[in-house]
Amino acid sequence: MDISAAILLLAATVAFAAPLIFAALGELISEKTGVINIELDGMMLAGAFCGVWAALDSGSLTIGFIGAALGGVLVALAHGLLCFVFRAEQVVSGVVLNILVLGLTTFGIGPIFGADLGRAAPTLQPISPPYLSDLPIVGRALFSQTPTVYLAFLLVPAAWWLINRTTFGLALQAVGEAPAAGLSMGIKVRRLRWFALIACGALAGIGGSQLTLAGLGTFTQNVTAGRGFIALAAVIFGSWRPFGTLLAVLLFTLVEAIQVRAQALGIHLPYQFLVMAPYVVTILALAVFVGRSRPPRALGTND
Amino acid sequence: MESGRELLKVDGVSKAFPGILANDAITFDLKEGEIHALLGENGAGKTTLVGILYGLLHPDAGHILVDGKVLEPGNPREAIVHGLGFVQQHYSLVPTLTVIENLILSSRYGSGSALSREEIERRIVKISQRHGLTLDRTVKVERLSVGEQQHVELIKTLIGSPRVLILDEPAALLSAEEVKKLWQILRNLAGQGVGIILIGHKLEDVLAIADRITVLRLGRVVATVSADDVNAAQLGAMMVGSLAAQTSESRPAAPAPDASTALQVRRLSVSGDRAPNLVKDISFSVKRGEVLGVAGIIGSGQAELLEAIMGIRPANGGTVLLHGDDISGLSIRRRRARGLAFVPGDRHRDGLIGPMSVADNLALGANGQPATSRSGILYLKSIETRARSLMKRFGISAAGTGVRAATLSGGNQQKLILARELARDPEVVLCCYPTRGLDFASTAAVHEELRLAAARGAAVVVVSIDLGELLALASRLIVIQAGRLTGEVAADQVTAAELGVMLGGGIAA
Amino acid sequence: MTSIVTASTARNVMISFVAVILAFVTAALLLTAAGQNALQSFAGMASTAVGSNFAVGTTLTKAVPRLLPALGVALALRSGLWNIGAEGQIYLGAAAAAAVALFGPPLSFPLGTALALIAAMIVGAAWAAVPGALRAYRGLNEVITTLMMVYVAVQLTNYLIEGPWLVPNSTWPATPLIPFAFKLPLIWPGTLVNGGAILAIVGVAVLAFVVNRTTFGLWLRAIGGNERASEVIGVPLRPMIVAALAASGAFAGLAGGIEVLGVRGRLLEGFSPGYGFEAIAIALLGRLRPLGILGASLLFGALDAGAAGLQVASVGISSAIAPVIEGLAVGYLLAALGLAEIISRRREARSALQSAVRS
Repeated sequence: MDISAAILLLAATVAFAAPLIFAALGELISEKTGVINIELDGMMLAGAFCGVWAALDSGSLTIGFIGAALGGVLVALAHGLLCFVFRAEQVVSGVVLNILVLGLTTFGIGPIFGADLGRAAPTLQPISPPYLSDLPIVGRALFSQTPTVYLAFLLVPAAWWLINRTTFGLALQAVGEAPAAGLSMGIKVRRLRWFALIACGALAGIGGSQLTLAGLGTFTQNVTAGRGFIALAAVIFGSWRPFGTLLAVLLFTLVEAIQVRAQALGIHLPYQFLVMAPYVVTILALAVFVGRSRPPRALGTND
Repeated sequence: MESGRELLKVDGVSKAFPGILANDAITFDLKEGEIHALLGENGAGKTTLVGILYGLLHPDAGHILVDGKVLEPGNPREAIVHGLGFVQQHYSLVPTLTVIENLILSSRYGSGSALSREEIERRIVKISQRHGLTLDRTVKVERLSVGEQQHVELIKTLIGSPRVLILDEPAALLSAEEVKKLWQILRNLAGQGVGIILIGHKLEDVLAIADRITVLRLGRVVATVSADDVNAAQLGAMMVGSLAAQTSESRPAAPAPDASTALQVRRLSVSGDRAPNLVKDISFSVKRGEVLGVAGIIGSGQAELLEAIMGIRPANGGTVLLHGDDISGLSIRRRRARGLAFVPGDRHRDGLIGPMSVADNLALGANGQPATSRSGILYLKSIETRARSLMKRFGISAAGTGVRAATLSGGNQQKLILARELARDPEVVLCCYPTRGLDFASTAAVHEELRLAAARGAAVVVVSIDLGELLALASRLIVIQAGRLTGEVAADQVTAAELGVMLGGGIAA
Repeated sequence: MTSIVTASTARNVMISFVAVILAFVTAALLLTAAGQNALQSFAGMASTAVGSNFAVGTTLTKAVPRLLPALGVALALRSGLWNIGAEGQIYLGAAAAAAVALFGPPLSFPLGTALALIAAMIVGAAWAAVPGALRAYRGLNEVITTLMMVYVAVQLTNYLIEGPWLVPNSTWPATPLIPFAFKLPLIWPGTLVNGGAILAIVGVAVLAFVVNRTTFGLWLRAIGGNERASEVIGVPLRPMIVAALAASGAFAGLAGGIEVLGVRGRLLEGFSPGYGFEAIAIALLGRLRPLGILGASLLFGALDAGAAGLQVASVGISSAIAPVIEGLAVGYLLAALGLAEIISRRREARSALQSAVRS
């Protein structure tokens, strides 16, 4: 594999990682407070859909991203309603919302986008920050990305700082580890969970819009193709830590990038084995590394 | 100590839950500098009252007054702002955070006043010095011992300079040394004018420290007395309801002299959930027809010991022998098939399948006996009849065999577990805190069943923190302290007081 | 899991029924918002779903591949386990059945068919057993692993179809037709209902029997009720977890086999429009009860059969309205269950206070 192939591989890895990083960080914050979102994929899908919808209608990318965030938040609100108000089990609610969102977004393609079948929403273009992109090798690989990719990577240390270095972050941890203790300390457990859940929805929605607004500008059926679940796995694999999650995401997207560039890399496996590779790697990684770390003790409980 | 000024008043507080009136018009007051104890058995309504005081529960009637002003109910922060401080028994600290992180959280969210980190550290130092408490602030709470965690709890509460301190069963899990230290701290605080409410059910603890005592029974206040005017026997009578004579049922029969050894434990070492070497090298044996009592304060490893004998928890070393056969490597299922029975300490978590019917719960214990199933097919009719006859035999009162086990009262649930375990006429019965949370009648019923099991030839092992219970049931006692077997004695040759001393000075001076 | 399974049957049926009605009403609103005449759409759906013998037959045929996996999902769910991977088990079961029919001994119905179907069940069970073992022995949450296995299974099957088993010159990737002798016979003249429908009905009875009348079922329910307590009581927890998921996978694998041997006659790429995922909604809507699942799968089969009529009645409307209705139905069900619990708790607390005050 020569240098230029390696560079392209690295660039692809980083680009593919962005949607997952948004979603995984959102899920991380949510799981820190004890709420698991099986419907993460649905949040991303809603974000991808609403992002294109908003961008097409307004002609503005910014509005598009706001719309994407709102799409994810809507799904989060539904999850919160089912779990916190109607006391459904979080896994049940998550599974059901996934089915619902997939159906709604597929159904919505006709009515919402039907008339615009030729049109695409405005999309993000890659930008190259001045000095960084002139670095040898690394410059071309890492610093010729759409702006939201940079944002995604910057969010990782931001998330770390929020969770570990602020009192608010301590409160989030308390809610997920020992909600009874948090309650007795005066922490508004329910309120923090809503906050984390909505933040997760917004982030996942933006992550989903990466697949459309930073891609072709159109929405296709099930554009997320299960990426939300890889994001869920990344949180577990990353031991519920921001940097660990980032590493997990990069591992999975590296595999995906290899699959996409297999021809150029001289890999001659039937393509189906490459497509399934990220999922196999996820399972193997989980099987080997689980048990090394513990999830937040109150994960999945509603009280 | 007391200045006579009223600091806090609980006025006519009532609270009901489905099926039970937990607090019934409870009224008492607390003076400045006073140590006021609330005494009551399990089920007397203390936990509910505590929840209301803490602001976690809304009373259905009545209110709490601090300095004459009504406290807003159901609001923990309100309570803290008004000068109430709470030292809880459980679930008050976040285990995965460090001491200082816990304190920061509690200061920020508890009273809403964002003390800076430096200010918090300053106050910690001041409090630690004043009361002689030393603490490593950067260690995670889950690594601390129970006593140390309570110190953190205390500091956490004292940072807010409360005028009223409410402690829920503070001495329950402490060693005698730690209890003495705690009383010293409390007397110190009372001397500074802090009013203290102590909630508990240990007579000796209460008499040692309190100025006034309010006794609760079945949700009502029985009386409020000054500690100088009353003795332990009178208090006990108020708690239980009559000056009943000490229960002197038939002394537990010792096993026949030629009885064979049923259970033998050799050098068993077991790890706890948090402590790798909880049970160290314990050896003992139990004969057929014998009831062996295991005494020790909670957390010494007794429960883990029984779990290891049953196969629920893996042992680090040692062997378990049943009638001379080594069963150390067998699964739980196999051990049950050989005749072991287990009554767990936590009946909700480990003992019953709540959503399943009474009949099905009982059927689970049958272990595939021909009466209930054959080659995997259940005989529903015979499960039904068996359930009915077991309910009758063990006195389980429920609307029918089909009701869900979770709907039964605590006493009936415990009887259900016993029925399931004892119906098979087991060789060995292992019980952990068999009467925890049960009322008087249910406790007597459980004791009777265990005696009958021994009479039928089973070897019974009972773990309990209630010395009276152990003396009533067992013919022989072993004492476990910090995971080691430190004493063995015949039950008819020791009194409760002596046993308490053997437990490491258990009764506070 | 107790919120999903409650005692009173009449109440269960009513709650599910109400949820379905609400779902249809919401769908009608959505259709109207999309510029369609809702009644016309529904009428169109009804005509190809129940409007003739053939229509009913189509509904039944489309109910079968939903019913069987749903039974499997329900079985696993009774022990608290989620089989999100039914879709993958369906595909591999289909592949196994096709393999036996295409490359196995030259047998015929009933022996050859039975062999192929058994192979389908075994493969489906094995595929589900892997996440089962990971859950049982490594504590790995089965929601994610069973789902990941779906993508792997679909790709594997696609590889087989597009690679070694491909029939050349086909417009859509597929294997050659299986020998006619292996096929499941048609059982209702005038329709396309095949023998698989009978197997599906048998499956309903099997689920009912296994869950309620076998030791396996007792243990299953015990684990679902309280996993830790069941282990303490002596239920062989870990083998049961693997067995429960394997059994679940067998149901799904069978569905895949029936699709190949009874409906398509060959292994076709993408033959499942998500049967395995719909099965989850069906299991929930049917409250994990065999008859409820039967009813829900007939409903969903009807929605699928109605898609053709929908296209005719309302041009441009995606048949994705069906999963929308399904998702909404379960969503309303969850809300209804939650509401019912809130109401009953308030009622209990109020009556306790009243009776206490009286005394």
